[in-house]
Amino acid sequence: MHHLRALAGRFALLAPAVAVLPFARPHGPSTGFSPSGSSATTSPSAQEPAAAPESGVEPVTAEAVVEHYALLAHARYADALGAARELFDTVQAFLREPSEATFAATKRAWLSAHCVYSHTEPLRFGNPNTDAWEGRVNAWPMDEGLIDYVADAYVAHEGNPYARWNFIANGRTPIDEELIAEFQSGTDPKVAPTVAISDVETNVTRGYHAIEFLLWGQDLNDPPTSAGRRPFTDYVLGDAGTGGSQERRCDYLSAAAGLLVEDLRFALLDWAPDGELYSKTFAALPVAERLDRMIVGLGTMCFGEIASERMQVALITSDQEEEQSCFSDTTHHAHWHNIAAIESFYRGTHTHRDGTVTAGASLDALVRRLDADLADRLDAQFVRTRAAADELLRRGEAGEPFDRIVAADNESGRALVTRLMDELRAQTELLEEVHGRIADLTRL
Amino acid sequence: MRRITRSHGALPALLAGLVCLGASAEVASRGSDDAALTRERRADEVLAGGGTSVVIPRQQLMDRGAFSLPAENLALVRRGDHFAGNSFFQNAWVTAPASAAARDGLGPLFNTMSCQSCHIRDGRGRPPRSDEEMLSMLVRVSLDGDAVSDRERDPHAGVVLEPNYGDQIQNGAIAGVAAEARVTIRWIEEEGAYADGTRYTLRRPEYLLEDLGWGALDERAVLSGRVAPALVGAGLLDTIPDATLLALADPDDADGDGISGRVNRVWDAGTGATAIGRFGWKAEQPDVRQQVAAAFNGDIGITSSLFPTDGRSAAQREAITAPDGGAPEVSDRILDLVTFYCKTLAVPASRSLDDPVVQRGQELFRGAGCASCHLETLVTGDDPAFPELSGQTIHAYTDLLLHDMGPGLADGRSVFDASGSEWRTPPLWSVGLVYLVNRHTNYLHDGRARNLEEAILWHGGEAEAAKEAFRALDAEDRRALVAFLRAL
Repeated sequence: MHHLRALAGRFALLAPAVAVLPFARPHGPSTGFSPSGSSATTSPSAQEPAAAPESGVEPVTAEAVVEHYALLAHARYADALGAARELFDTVQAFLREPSEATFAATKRAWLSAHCVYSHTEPLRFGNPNTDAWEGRVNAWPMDEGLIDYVADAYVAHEGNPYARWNFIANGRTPIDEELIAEFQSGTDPKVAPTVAISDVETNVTRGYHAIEFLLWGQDLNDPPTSAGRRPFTDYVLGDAGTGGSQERRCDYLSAAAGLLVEDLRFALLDWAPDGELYSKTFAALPVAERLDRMIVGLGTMCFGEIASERMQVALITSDQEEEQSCFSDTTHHAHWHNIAAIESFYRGTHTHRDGTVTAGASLDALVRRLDADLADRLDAQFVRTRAAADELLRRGEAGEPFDRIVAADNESGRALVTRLMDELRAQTELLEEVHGRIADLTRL
Repeated sequence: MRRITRSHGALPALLAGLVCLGASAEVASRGSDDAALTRERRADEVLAGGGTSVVIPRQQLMDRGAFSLPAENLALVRRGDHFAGNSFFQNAWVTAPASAAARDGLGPLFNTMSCQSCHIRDGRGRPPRSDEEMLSMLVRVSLDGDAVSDRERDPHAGVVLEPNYGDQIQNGAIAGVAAEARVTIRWIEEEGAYADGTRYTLRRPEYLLEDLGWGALDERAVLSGRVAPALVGAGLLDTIPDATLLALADPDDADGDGISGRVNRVWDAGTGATAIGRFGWKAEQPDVRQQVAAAFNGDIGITSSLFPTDGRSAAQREAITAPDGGAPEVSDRILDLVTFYCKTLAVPASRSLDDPVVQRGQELFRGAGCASCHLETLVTGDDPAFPELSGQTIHAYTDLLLHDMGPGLADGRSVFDASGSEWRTPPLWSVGLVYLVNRHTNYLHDGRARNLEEAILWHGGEAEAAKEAFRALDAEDRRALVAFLRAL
């Protein structure tokens, strides 16, 4: 392990802790897959050759790769938690002093937090611990009418008796973290309403997208290019306020932001080095099983989650709100960061929020030891995937967010998404090839 | 108890308490002692669904996700269709015409708006509690009895349709169309006693139809409730060869064990021919794809290439002129995605099978003859389109055959070759996880059983001897047998 830490240290660039909000600067293709997007940070992929065996370090082993993977997991949840805490603080500042400026800052903090979280998602699917809390953190789609007011044209999940409950306006119970947690998980069968609410998975009461709705409101596409346009005065008490029940809405926003921090704290504990929870279980597994979990996570995220659930379905339905971040119209950011995260896990790198980079034993280097041709094909594929993802991000930033990209009449937008899906599929096929050679990789 | 249990501070006490109500009183632990996190088979974990099975960590069971995982052996590139299918399984269909054109065409008559609304968390539906609407079950209707001739049987539905209401009561309708009825249940209770004198109460439903929207109900109409079953393992059952079922069948009880077992022969909408039925409470559908299409059609009012007309009676076809959502309303692409999703869900591994109490229960289960119909082991055939389902040794605890279950369970509804007292053996795999996923323990076709004991006590007919064997057990052995079922 020592050589890994030493290696990580070599790449810890002491970049100035600029306010590295991922969206603060538009990501150009040239910035590579740095989650900070800061040009002060060297792109992880550019550093990768330094981690290769010829740098004098002993050849990478499967054991080293999965140990480093666990460290990366911890680093990414630590960043996600840090960003969620900033969101919480920003929310509190906004609620203390609501204004256009503090509201805008809160929305920026939300986007930053969600982008940082997106880098943890390739840990899902492979690691079964994740699904214990993931639904509390990042669930979508949601029937937002459960929480707050919606437009008359709101299309609810009509099998859902609570889809128009508007708990902020109509609920009688004081809003706190415990209550909105119970609404979503229905843990107590004696409290019949909460079980009935949680029976419907679109009754999402917590997590990034519930907060997103509380900040942006519904995306009514008026004008067509706009995202949700909730006024900050929805959080102003008294006559100057809007939306009604402002005090309960303030309570809800505050509680939801607090719960997010709680949930991510829980996630981080799972991966604590030398901890007693999942990291210990993981470390005790045979190395082949750990490699299996790592690659299954990358591949499932790549094709199952991103290309299919988040893109294919949107293409088939052309449904404007068939997107993950439908209130803020920032789905292109989520896609870009998810895709970046798959590559950076493969390359064993992580760019921290302060711009420093951790690198170490990578799957890339391991595959290269076994089969340089396969590693080359993956490299070439990542370049192609990245090019398509960059274009999606660029168009999103230029006023063509994901819901407009997949619109039935947007031929070039749909072609772009189709191309990106094809690249993700090809990438998954290569990851599957790697997966098929786990036995060989562990013998190296 | 075998296991040294240890609750962890990070887990709310409430959750820990919940687990105690679940399988064999295990306390959830998130610690490293939770070796269930390994996918390697342990003595107490049997991969019920063969290579598809997932060993689920206990904390994940808490979050109601046990029935919603992709098959363990599903290739990475095949997970795309699984995830996309899940999306269409979950999302609601809307009234046509709508901007979301791929998902319009709801109704005009329907029971629900999405698959997930009844198959809650891919799990089991239940009868409404006192003041609820009927949400995750429905009521079938047909004409049955001596005054009905077999010749009137609809060749596709396999039943004699009620002239005004077809073969199920649809309690929902789009705007401008009358729903068929509001359905409520009255429970009739009856008392019984175990051999040791312990008393129990069973309940059976009586259905009351109010606000009939389409005229009087024929006096020969028979009503029978159907809760949505859990989906796990359907793909594996779909892959069991017909020859296996035919070999298991013993229609004339040639071996004299008191248990016959017949295959149902049903309509195959894809081929237009007769096929062996294996899905539905009376084995009235031949495969998962047709089962999905039939549910789209009857329950959501969505047409497909297999069922090109909305599920409604002739009278309703005449009267309703609402626009449809295209022909067909669900494309083959989406139908195939949903089918793929249903077929590739993982069967959770069994738990605690090395617990002495559970093992005692398994012996009692076998000794009572339960395993004669709830067959422990089957081997799937070969389906080139589904390599992950092929050649799997599975523990589904079903023979997929029809058995006469006696007058207590008889609903008087005959479907194709299934009589009014015959039912297909439902699989028992994952039956112990229903509580954790669905927060209830209502079993049998209409959810009348409030726990596993009641479900057993309703058995009769060919299962009379098995039921009597259970009734004769003392309390400790009854608990052991139920502990075994909860471990599945």
